[in-house]
Amino acid sequence: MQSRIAEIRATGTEVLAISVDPAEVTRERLGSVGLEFPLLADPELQVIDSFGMRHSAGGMGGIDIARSGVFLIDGTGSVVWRELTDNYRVRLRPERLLKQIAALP
Amino acid sequence: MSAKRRNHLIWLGPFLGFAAILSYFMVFARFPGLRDFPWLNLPLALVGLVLSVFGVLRPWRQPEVFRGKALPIIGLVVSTVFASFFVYYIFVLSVLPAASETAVKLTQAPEFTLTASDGTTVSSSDFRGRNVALIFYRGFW
Repeated sequence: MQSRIAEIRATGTEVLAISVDPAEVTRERLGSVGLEFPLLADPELQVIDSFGMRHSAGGMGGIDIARSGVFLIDGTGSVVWRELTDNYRVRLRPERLLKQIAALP
Repeated sequence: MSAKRRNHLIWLGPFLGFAAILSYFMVFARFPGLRDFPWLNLPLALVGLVLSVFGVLRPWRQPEVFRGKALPIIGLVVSTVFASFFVYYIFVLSVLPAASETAVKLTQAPEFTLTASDGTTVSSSDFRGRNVALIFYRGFW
């Protein structure tokens, strides 16, 4: 996703990523990996739940985490497209997202 | 009388199985085409398994060339463990439960305010009038 971020931004679309990891953990793990989009912390899974994206006991040691998936939300807050993978190895490819963005009115 | 040879399949089979698993996570998972379905690593693990089977058969078929029947069996067991783990991971362990009805039917994105890893606060209202690709990811834990 990072490799195509400029192209995605150029369409006027912001990229945000959400996981259960606390901000400090993400900062630590990220180290010098330069990501140009914010990684948001939702350790209480409030937002993850509001999108129905909880994967119960999906994490190491049986903790609850977010399942992999992407929502494309337009300027009015409507969900215009989503991709909810059924296997976490199989994730959204940036070109598919770009195609969807291009198809927006 | 023919010369005895070492049965290299004893270690080659498990080695390929191990290499298949290690290289999937370390290298090939970065390439979507080889991650979504392990076109390279799954065959590699299975070739390792097949080599181990031949490793076991060798001392039975050519007892004058290959000595030792126990080690190849251990090699086959190890290869089987590696290959089964990989197949299990690819086809069972990484499969997610069915998506929730909320996720499938959501039409209006819920509002949110969260802390980013750089300490700043990011709110959905910051993006009014702009498209947002909201990526949920499993995290590093």
